[in-house]
Amino acid sequence: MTSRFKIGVGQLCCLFSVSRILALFMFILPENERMAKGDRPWLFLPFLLFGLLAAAPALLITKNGQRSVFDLTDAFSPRLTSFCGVLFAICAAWSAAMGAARLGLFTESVLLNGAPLPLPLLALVVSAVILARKGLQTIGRVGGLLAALLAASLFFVLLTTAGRLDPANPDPPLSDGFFRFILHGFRAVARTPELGALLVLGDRISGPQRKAVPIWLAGFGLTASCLFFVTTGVTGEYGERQMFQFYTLTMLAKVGVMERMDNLIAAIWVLSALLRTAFFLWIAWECLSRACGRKPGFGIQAAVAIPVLCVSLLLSGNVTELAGVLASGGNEALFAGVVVFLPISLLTAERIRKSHLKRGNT
Amino acid sequence: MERHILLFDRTEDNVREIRRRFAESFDLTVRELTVCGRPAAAVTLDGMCSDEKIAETVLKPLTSVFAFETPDFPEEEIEAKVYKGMGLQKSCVFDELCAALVTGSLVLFLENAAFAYIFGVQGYPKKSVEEPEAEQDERSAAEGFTDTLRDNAALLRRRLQTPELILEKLEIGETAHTSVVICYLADRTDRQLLDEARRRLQNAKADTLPGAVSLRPFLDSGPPSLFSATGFTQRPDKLAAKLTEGRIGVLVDGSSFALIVPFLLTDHFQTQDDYASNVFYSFFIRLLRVVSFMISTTLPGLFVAACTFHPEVLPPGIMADIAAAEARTPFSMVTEALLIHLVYEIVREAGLRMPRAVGHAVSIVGALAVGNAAVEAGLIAAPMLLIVAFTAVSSAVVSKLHESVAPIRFALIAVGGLSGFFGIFLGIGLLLTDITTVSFAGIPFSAPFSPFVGRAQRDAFYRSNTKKLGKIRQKIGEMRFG
Repeated sequence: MTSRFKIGVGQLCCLFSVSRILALFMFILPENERMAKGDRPWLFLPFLLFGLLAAAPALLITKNGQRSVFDLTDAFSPRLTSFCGVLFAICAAWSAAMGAARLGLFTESVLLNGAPLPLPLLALVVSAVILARKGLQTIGRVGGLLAALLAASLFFVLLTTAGRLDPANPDPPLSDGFFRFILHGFRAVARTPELGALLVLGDRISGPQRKAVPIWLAGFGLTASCLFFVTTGVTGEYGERQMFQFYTLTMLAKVGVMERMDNLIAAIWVLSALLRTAFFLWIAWECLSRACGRKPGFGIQAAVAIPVLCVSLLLSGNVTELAGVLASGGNEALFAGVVVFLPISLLTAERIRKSHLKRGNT
Repeated sequence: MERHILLFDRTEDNVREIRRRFAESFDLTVRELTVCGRPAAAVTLDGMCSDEKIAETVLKPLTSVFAFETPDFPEEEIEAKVYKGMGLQKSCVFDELCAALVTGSLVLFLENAAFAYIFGVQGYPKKSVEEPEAEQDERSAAEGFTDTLRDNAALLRRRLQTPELILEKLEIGETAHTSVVICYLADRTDRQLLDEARRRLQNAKADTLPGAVSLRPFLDSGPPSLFSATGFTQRPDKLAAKLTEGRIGVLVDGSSFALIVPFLLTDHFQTQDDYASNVFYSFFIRLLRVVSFMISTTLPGLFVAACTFHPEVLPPGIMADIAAAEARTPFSMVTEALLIHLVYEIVREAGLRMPRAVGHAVSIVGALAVGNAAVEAGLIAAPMLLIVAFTAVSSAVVSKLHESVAPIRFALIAVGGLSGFFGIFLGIGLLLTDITTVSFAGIPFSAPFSPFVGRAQRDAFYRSNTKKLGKIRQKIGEMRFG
């Protein structure tokens, strides 16, 4: 059922933007792990710097859409492909489960206050499986539509709440020191599994990836900084105590007769979580199918979807605690290992191999 | 399968064979004649041929010019002098002669002739060109397709007077052998698109073809969906306009509808009248149609979800009125919404199937008597009736999408009643999934919005002015991406 067609680089950027906005703004980290209020508007600087460093190996491997990381590992050994496939599949499934769990927490706290969680999560994962089974092209198209909806909504939220911005609310930058500022920037990048997805999607994207990804990193970083600035500036100390700080902001936003922007944002969170879960499910299926050397049939799909559902059910009640645990360094280490060091090692090994072959020929 | 049987020498034997093949069908007409002093027979299927044409172009020359007995049969004279330029055909195979008879031709058997003549004297009863009832426009042409393939082809040719307009004929239906014509502009149509449409039509396995719209499943591909990338129209001007965009039309004999592939979601929000109105008004009207589509899909579900799970989204005064009205009814809101929509669908179906005069009466009885009586009896609440009525009117704005919208509406009411906005939002997500999955030969149904095609925005929801549109040759093939 999975389509073998490519998606455009613009669609990829839309997909990444929707997925990232959900992860960054739906649920804000526990207070002690948050970036200082004054540093947030400047987040785009370290985000762009570390983002470029993290994306560089993937962009070097994909050669602007000519190959994926698996094409590279295949050249060394099928076992290496299987290992990488399983590793990437686990990471993607984890990201899918985290996205679902975040929405589970939001649904339980805001949309269906006090309702039993398993049913909404089951509905979300089943819907995500349906979307993922339609293939990457469909995911990309839904991503494009959602990105447009998201952009329009954010524009209205910013427009209507900017008047309430209190300049005294945001602190001056670097109030926590330069090191903490840089560390938070790195953490923001390390919580961007989409950059890892580039390694897998390499040969599925048409268009100039090497131009588009840096532009996306800069554009997204700036948008996120702007949103952080307005959120902090408007909600102030009250917002800092809220688990869903951005949602709190949207409750203040009113456009003409439309006095409930919070419901629009709730709709976007649900749709974005569906898209994000489906996207990472599809990535996990793709990786596992490469690892097994066969098409992603029902067996592979079930082998990913069922654990994703179970993990998201387990996580949803403990997202806040889990986020604290992940923020203690585990997430960063995993990201650095899988997205940066593994591809760099593969590229180095490929270069050495090529130079050996050249020497052998001469 | 019957073997190909060749013609007999004697006219009598030939007529007997034809009678046997048609099992003495009542409409098989045999006129016995004498041509050049030999027995002959003119065979037709009654009602399929024009009596005037038979008399003037076949019988009169035969009986006057060849009335006298001649030693040799004047074959060359018949072909060259009498019927010259009439597209006279000959055959000695019974299968071919039978095929000609069922298309309305006259078959002439002559004693001891090596072949039989086939005269094209078709003249079956047909509907005249009328304004299409299902697609009325205020300022556009008032002509609609008829049920006759030749007339429909002529209506199209009149609007596209170029040799680039190609009409390719196929036959579909193992029993019915219905003539189907693929129409396209050779200089504008994408080759891949054309090959795909031709392949799908050639592979269409059907016994009979009740109408053009029954070809839709053969043209659609991929998993089952509520939407289709194959559209239909009764308007020749609309089909002509779509062909100029590089799309492909399909005309079917016996159907007053033409199919258009690929047909995009945005096409459902466009009419020919849009091009006769000014730019701003047509933009407004197109937006209105989009909003109507959204209302007809989601409004009842959102209303049920808001009243059941999220009363805070409604102003307190309105919520209090709704609560008071609902308190008098025996059903839950979701049951009430499902029931009243079911009643609406029944009334709509009855209005469609019954004779027009009675249909109006049924609609009035349904709308006024049932609705009003149900509210007065306390079975349903007035706000719910208002929502259903508004939804019904909205769905009439984009009536061609009704068969897609109706099941979605029921589903959203059910999930809205079970899980509030969460279920509705998830349902909208699945709806978007369905919309974006549909495509024809790589051209997505959701184009030109997703994937975004900048050039095509000039005539999507917004329409550029006619001077600008005239300069641009928009081709549908450009939307094949992503």
